[in-house]
Amino acid sequence: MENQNSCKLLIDLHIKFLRQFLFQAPKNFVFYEYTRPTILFFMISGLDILNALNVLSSEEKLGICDWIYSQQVKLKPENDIEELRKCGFYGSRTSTVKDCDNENLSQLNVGNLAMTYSSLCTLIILGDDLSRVNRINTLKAVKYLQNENGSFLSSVVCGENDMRFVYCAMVICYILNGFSYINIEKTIQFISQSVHYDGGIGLKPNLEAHGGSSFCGIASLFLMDQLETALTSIQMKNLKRWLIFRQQSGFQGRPNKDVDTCYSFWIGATLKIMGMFSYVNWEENKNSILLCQNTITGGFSKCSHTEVDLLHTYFGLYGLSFMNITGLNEMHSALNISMRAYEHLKVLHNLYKTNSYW
Amino acid sequence: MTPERLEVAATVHIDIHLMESFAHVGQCENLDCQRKCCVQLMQVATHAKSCAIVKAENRYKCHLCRQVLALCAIHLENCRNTKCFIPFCIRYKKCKVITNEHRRCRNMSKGSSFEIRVGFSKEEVINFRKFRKFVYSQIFSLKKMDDNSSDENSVEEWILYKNRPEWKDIESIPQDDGPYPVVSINYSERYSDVFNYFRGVVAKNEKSIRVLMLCRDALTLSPANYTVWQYRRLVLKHLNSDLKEELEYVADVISNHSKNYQVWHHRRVIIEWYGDATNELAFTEQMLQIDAKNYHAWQYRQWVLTTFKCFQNELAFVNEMLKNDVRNNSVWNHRYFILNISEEGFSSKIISEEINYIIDKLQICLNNESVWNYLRGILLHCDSEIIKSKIVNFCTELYEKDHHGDHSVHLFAFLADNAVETVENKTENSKENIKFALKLYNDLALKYDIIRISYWKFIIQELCERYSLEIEI
Repeated sequence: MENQNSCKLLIDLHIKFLRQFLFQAPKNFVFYEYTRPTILFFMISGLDILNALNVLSSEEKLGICDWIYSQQVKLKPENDIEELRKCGFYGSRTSTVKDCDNENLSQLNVGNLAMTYSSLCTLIILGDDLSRVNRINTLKAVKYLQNENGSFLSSVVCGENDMRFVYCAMVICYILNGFSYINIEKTIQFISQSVHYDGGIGLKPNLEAHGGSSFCGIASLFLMDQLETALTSIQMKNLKRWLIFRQQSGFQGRPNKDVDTCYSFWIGATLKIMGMFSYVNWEENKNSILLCQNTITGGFSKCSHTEVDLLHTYFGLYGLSFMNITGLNEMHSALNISMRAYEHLKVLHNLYKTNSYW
Repeated sequence: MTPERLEVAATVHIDIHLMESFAHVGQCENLDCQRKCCVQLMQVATHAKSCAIVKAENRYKCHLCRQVLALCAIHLENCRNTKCFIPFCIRYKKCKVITNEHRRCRNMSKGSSFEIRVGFSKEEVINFRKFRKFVYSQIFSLKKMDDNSSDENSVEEWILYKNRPEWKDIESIPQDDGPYPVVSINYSERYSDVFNYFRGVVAKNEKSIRVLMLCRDALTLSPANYTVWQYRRLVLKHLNSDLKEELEYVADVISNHSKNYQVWHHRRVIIEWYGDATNELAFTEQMLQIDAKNYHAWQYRQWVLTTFKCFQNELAFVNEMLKNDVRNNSVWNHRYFILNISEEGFSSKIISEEINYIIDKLQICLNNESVWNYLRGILLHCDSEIIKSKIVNFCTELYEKDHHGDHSVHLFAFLADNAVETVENKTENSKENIKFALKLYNDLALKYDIIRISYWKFIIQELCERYSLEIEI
């Protein structure tokens, strides 16, 4: 009987949890300082999963959009590649100051694919029309951040390049209708080279297969409309097996690791894209996620005895949404936004296409 | 002592520096021992002994036990005392001396390890392992909290930059969150102060030793802030700084934030400048001792190995790591990587050796997905039917012997897949092979891998359709 309560999804509590720090966050959030757009994305998209965007007034929504646009790298007149690579949206406001034309400071405001990606998604979810996005420059940044091996750099200053940024780049290209800016063949090659001997996909070639990078790889192929052609049928078969085997009760991210709430999304979404989610044991998966629900504060944790956090709350809810749970919106499995937001994006695409704007 | 007081005592004494006192408690038989730590911890430990071990599920709920076991987890790695009183300690040590590993383990399906062999139940072991991990994370977060609280509490010791006369020449520039701030963080006074001065030096483009110190203070407060890391690198470059010192510094940061992408990247850049990676393998090994599955550490190690071509002893390292934990998937992956980039590659000699190695490891723990996956990886390169039949025969034998024992899901899946593959490649004995595969898939679906019943049914259906057979489930 005790389980009865803990197995119920406490929607109102999660809405409260996701909304509470939307404008004012406590001081321990300094650890997220550099990635505020991502934190914001978890909150806003999380509210969307819970079908609760109406808790925000239209003034608040507009304010959030303005804030996101304020982190778009300002247009520079010159067209040199080094400057274009810095375009897009940035995350940390460490070097943002008031009414300042100090070159030294503004030079540190550099776009980052992950931040551009979260910013664009949040804008779409909030119903923005993307008209203030500097589309050409953003896409050129993506173009010039692509490496010889097909992967993408996260930004000029970070030097990280792996499957995560391939995914970010693909979503940006999808949203801004800009696949012509990148080298698709090389991107596919990078993904297929990262397919591992055990069937899963690693962050890079030779790296251990991982739930997160498997999602990034497969979702990227799906967004490029290459899922059916990029991998061999044996690769597909092995990947399906690898993914299905990640289910223990909930999902683990790698073999012989513990179950973790967020993999109900990473693995679940990948299976969903591949049309295999119906072969998951829904009951076990559902119970495992709900076990990590904090029934007092709201939110979800990584596993049942750890603290709740935004990432696991977001992906926990997303994972649940795949199993037709009342009260949760239907989600797009590759774009990481709701089907409702996706419909809005489609309307934008049509609009810009008919006006030959994009 | 009342439970409340015990709890307070335990909370107070959770401190990494108290490990020595804890060791004392472990060997102290004098119940009247006057050492304060002894009086308190002894009682707490006694409580944990009766409370925690017996009822595994209570362990998480009992706050007191959590604290004690936190200490235990660290203690038992270091304790050499064979008569130690600390919970888990003796049994843990006993396990370590047992060398004949696979004798009692062969039938253990999951989590077979030394803990099981000295009488812990399987469930206890899994709980204990989870717990140990949790404990480590707790201790580190406690340590972090201590650091933080000392940041905030010791205001009288910490002099704000705005009050330092030597920084008078720098303008303090506040961050601008815009007219409508979102996720606006309530920064502490110290945080704002440090970053105001950081912006101050950036605005002036100052690149000096004192700026390096300022960056250090900023990164202590916000270790993942890539803007600060980036500026720090510009300063290091400009000053032509001693990179050895920088490596020591970044090692320190990594050990506190080992899952942070920026710090690993910083180390990589510094090593690229430095041009000498002699210590890097030892360094990653150290990090892997804290977390043997740390993806960043493995990724970094791969980069070091390929960039500096230093894989002479790498296979020995892998063997050692697998001795410690045969179920560590990262190590199996690393093994594959080493062979893949080696000059010899997957020669038939290597493949044959690897098959023997796999057989050896399967005998330690049969239901270990990492080995089975590795086997599939090795077989990708194997053209020799003789080598292949060796492993298939070994598996068939296991399967036949195993009829009444423990059923390894992976063994079943391997044999079934293999049977199907033989048919697809050759078409001899096809009917029998397909029937065999169907039986195994069926057993998996209905008996041994019920969680994946829908998946196995899907596999069966696919197979039947391909060979136009009637489905019987």
